[in-house]
Order: sequence, then structure tokens, then C-alpha cells
Amino acid sequence: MKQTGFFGRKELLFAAIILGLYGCNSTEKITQPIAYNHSIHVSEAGLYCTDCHVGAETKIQATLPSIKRCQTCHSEMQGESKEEAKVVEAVTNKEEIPWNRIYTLPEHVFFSHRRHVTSGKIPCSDCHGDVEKLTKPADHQLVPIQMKRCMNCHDQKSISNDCLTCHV
Amino acid sequence: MTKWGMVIDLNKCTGCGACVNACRIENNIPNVGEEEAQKGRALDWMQIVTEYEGEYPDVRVTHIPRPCFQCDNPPCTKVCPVHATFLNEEGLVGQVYYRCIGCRFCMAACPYSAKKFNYFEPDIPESYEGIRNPDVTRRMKGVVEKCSFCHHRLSLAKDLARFENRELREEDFQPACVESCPADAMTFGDLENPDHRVATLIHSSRAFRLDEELGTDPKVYYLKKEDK
Repeated sequence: MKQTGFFGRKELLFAAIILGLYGCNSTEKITQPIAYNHSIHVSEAGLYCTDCHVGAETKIQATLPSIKRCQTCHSEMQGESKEEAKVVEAVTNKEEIPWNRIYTLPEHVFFSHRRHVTSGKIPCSDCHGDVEKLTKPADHQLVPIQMKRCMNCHDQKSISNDCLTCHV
Repeated sequence: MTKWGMVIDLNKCTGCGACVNACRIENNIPNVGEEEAQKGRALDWMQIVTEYEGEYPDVRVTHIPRPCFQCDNPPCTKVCPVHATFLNEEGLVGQVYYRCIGCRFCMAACPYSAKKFNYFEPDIPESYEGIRNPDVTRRMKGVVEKCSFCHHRLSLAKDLARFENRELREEDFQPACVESCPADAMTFGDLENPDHRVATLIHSSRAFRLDEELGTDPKVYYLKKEDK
């Protein structure tokens, strides 16, 4: 059979499908139940990322905020926003807000937030982008999570790139 | 440099199988069923080989628990065409399932039959979902798997030690089999660290390794069974 260079056509087609499946996964739109405004919480309320994503400094998972975190400020209306009214309603009814995760890792990857945030002193924005400037919820990963990106950072900081460092 | 290793005292091992079961639960090892197991397709990462010497009633029974020996000169890594199995800097022989192409060269190369092949999609009942260990990757049909010395526990232990700003202690990282042994027959630690019990035990006059003459330099040592 005639080959197109080192790879045959089938191989090239296969590679294109793989790239299509994995290379473009960050363009998938994710919606949130409430149009949360990160910017107003950071610039006006003076909150840090870890005030709501409480696990980021001390746990493996950063975690999405529970209604108890919202309750601290939103047991009553602070302004006149319709979106805030939804939060106050959820707080009154003691219902969790079903936030949708934007960053998920495959199960064969071990990633610890505390190791990167507390021990490694890496700013959240290095992996998550400038979320603090967003006035609407992000509908995609601002900084796409790719193994290449992790490995480059490990290289620059002289951290082991041995497969077992991240893969379990 | 750290070199993780294990010492198993054959005088103490009763062959109870606690290590085998602990390993199954810890590492989400599926049950392949009786028929497949008889074909040698059981996926247990820890096996107990029982040897009998003599004739009844003077029989001497020795139970030999056999995990992956995490060889320092592993034959399996040399034949892997895709670098799915490799020796890392801490002496652990890693197996990355998403890289494995299922050629089984490593299985043929391993003189200890420590590697297992997934002939089928793992049959894990839905009712097990809640008790599945989320720290261990589920393997899929067509890949090779093996004992990892519970490496996921090392990742967690290192993470916690670093967070608490201290050195990793011997008790921080113990594989499930060692932890579960009711006879205290298994000891685990850093072979290069004189503070770890294994570093002393491997110099015992009873210490030996299986098929040492092959030059694989295994990091699982046994303490010979002696009649008392």
C-alpha cells in the first residue's frame, strides 16, 4: 500500500480525530445557575479566592463554595441584583447552589491544590487565568489544562517530571 | 536517594490472605470470576504462593506473599516499547495505564509473573461504586497492571508532609498489604535510610531475595523460615 510519508492516511485521520476530541475540549460552554460576578467580590468586597474556595490552601481540592459561605454576607440583600436575590433565596431555603465545575481532571491524575498553592506558592491565576476580573461566570477554561503546560512549569521550577509524580 | 523496599518474614506469615484482600480493596482490583481465574487471568497484585516440604504428618508449609518486586534492574521496563512501565528515581517501577498498548512484552519479561493483563472490561458491580478508592485509577480492557507499592499513598503522604513542613516519616507511607498484616510479617520503608527498620532487616543472616541470580535486584526481601 502506498504510504504518505512515515504515517499512512489512516494514522493521520486517527491523529486528527484524537486532536479534535482532546485538543478542543476547552471550548465547551459551561453555564452556571447564577450569573456570579467574581470582580465585584474581589474588588468591592475585598475577598480572596481562598475565602470562598476554602480548600485551595489546605486541601487537595479547592472546592466550590457551599451555601454557608454565601450565607456569611447574603442572608439579606446587599444590593438590588436579581442574581443576588437567587442567592438570598437559596440561603433562606438552605439549598445548595448547583455550581458547575469548569476544571476537572481525569481520574488518573493526582493534583493537590495545597501543594501548589501553599507549598509551591503559585498564584491561582497561573492555572485559572484572571478570574478575579470577570463580571460574568466563565463558560470555559480561561487557561486550558494540558499535560504539556504542567510539565513545562515543572521543568522551569526544577520539580520532578517523573510520570508517578502526577499519575496514580 | 530514597529506595522503597519491603521485607517479609516467612517465619511470621501464616498465609491468612489479609494482604491479598487489602490489596484488592485498596487498588480497586476486579473479580474476574472462577472460570477466568482458572485460566490464570486473576488480577491480584499480591499473591501468596504456598510451598510444602515433606510427607504427612511431617509437613513443613511456607507461605510466600509475592507483590511486584520493584526490581532495581527490571527486565519489564527494558522491553516496553511505549515507556508505559519505567523505573523512577525512588526505585519504584511505575505502570501508566493510559500509555500501555497491551503488547504484554513486560509480562513475558517479568520472571516473577507480577504483571497482569486485563482481558475484559473490569467487572465492578455498581454497588461497589461508593466504596471504590478514588485515588487509584480504574484500569481498562487491554492494559497491563501490577502492584505499585500503593504509590498513590506516597503521593498523599508527601503532599501532607510538605504541607506540614516536615520530613516524610516511615509510618507516613505504608502499602495496604503491610498495614493489614495481622502477624506483622511485613515491613516497609526506605532501604537506604538507616532509621527505617527495613534497612537493618535486609542485612539479617536470614535475608534473601527470590531468584537473585537473575540479576534483577528486587527490592522485596524475605527472611528465611527457620525451625524453632
